[in-house]
Amino acid sequence: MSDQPVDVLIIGAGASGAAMAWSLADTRMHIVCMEQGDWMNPADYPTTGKDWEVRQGAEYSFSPNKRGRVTDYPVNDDDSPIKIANFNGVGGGTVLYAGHFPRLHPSDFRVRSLDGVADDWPLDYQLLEPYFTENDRMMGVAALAGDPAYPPKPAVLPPVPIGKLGETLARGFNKLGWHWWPSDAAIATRPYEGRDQCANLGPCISGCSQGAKASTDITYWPAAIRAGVELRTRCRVREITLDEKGMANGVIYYDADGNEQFQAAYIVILACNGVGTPRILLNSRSERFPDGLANSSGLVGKNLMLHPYASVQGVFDEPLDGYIGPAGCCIWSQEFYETDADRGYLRGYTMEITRGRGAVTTATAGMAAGKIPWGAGHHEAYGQLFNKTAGMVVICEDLPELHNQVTLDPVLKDSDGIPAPKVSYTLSENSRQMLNHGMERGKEILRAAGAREVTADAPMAIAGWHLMGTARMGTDPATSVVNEWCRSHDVKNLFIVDGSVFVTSGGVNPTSTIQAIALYAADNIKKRLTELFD
Amino acid sequence: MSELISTDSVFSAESRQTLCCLMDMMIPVSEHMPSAADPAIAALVLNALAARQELVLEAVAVLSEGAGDARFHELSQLQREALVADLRAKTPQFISFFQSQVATQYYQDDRVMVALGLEPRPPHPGGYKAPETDWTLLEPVRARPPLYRPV
Ligand SMILES: Cc1cc2nc3c(=O)[nH]c(=O)nc-3n(C[C@H](O)[C@H](O)[C@H](O)COP(=O)(O)OP(=O)(O)OC[C@H]3O[C@@H](n4cnc5c(N)ncnc54)[C@H](O)[C@@H]3O)c2cc1C
Repeated sequence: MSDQPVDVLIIGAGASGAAMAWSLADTRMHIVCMEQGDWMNPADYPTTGKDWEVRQGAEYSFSPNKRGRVTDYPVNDDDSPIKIANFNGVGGGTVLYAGHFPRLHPSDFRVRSLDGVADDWPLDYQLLEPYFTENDRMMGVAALAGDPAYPPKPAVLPPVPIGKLGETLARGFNKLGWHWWPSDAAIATRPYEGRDQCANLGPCISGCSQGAKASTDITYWPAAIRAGVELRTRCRVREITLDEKGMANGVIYYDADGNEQFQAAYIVILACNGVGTPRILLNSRSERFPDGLANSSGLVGKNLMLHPYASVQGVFDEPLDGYIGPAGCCIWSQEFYETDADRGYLRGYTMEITRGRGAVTTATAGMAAGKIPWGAGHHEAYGQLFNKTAGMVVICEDLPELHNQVTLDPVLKDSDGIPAPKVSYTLSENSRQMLNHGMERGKEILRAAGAREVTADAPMAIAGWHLMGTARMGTDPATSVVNEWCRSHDVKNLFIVDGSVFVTSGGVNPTSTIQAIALYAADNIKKRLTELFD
Repeated sequence: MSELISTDSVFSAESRQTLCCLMDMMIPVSEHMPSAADPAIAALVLNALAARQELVLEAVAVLSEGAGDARFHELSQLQREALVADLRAKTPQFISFFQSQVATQYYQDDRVMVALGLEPRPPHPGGYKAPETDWTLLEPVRARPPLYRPV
């Protein structure tokens, strides 16, 4: 038990918690971050062994339910066609993420004004711009300046090589006259701030053995710790406690041995992602907040957005060398990003070109899909797929809907007995239309690029890795959980800085924006220290 | 083939023979590639199959029963294929477990990797060299006006 309060207690050491901790460190306050997971050891990551494809699907699976480490919590996602993906450890989801690092676009913050759907954000691209740039520098983002899909933005490191596969698809885009650009990637393409340069290992999504991918355990955290932040692992927070005035005064957590502990704090900051954060708030019930902490709006856990994904694959005649280079970072297309009502849906999507499958996965997926037979035809059919398959994922903007939500499961609990989250989610008609459009356009590109056989599938069940909207920001306490600089409307010393605060989802991977918002919130805390709780 | 496989397996010699025969039916030898029943590969597969021993033995029993007085591996190719088709219908879980274990071990084998044009090693630490990108491909995109929507 520690009744001795720390100045700032951050819960969660992932993308946003790390950025927040680093930025606040220059205040010289006593900052503690509690993380339920462990530090990672890159030497243990799957790509150091020939069995990497097997381990990628087991102890490094992105599904917490499949992975089942003691540091994980289970998620009941039976009631969702899209299953939750995450990682629990220092670095959070960035340990396993692909490092595909687009920013939200200016229009994403103005969807109500532009398209009459959902809500505008209480902040905008311009306001976040310096924070995007600072975050790009801290994460070491590889990019090529001049992308016409964005306002001008700097490139910290040279872009990732797009390889034969990327060039093949780029020719397809050019044939159709459609936009493409090398993806912004949170991957060091040159030695950078103590990180080695990318060695094109391939599967970034089981952790980067090379230490080139910007997971926050090797970017923000070393800098934050050097600046005095204390990071405590194996501390699983059960609930945030309140004093008699209704201010947060600390957390109850379980230590590595499963013992219940208390840590007092003057400021509490939640950074546990769009599922973990509402789970803690809903578990923090009191007389004052019988429906969960900071939930006078009733919106904690609601409006969950997941970005429905489509997968489009094509088989080519020539080898594409798709095993060379970061699997999820090659080229992107924003051709269909902005709204065109003639397409039958509102808002839009990104096409993220992905690289090829490994030797084992080509076989297992090919056989499961009935494309590779047993017997004499096996080798020939395999040879037609291996190293000749290219494709993309289509990342669709997901509009907020109240019924898509995180609640507490009445039965399921983690290893410390804390009620687990339950996810209920249905695809909207708008998302279906958008997915269909994306699949058709994706097939067109692959054909234009020379694919002889194309297939598409949606929604991708495994792709619940972007967790947003469950404690959204806004200026009106009746319709939002936090204000425009991430302070809870109800509890003035409680902040939320992860993907939960998103008002809408955009049609891009969210981490760059999540971190920019965390840096912006940190700056506000620093600037307002004397009036922080007013 | 199966005679060469270590006998400390959880499977009996006869079961091993049946399973190795199945492996060979799934991935037979070809000009450049070994059979999945190659001793080194089969030993690893048998080891992996032991994780779901019950499921595997049930499948072996179905095949033995189908073979009647003969042994499964002694049947003709056609007879064996008919029994496997029957097995597919009866225990699709076994088929999917079996083929994923076989594929996993087979495609990690050094000889197989080399035959596929890969270096027989893990991705790290060697990594791979990527070719220089031809950025002139971007010329038509660079020529476009901005795509993003003004706000
Ligand atoms: C396989 C995969 C691929 C992805 N690819 C991309 C990509 O290419 N680009 C992109 O932008 N995004 C990607 N993402 C998503 C990205 O990882 C997340 O957007 C990002 O990590 C979210 O940041 P966060 O700070 O909101 O939460 P997280 O990074 O998830 O961090 C939350 C942390 O809180 C901790 N925590 C939760 N509950 C508790 C508790 N009760 N007590 C203590 N600690 C707790 C967790 O252990 C975790 O470490 C991917 C994710 C996955 C899983």
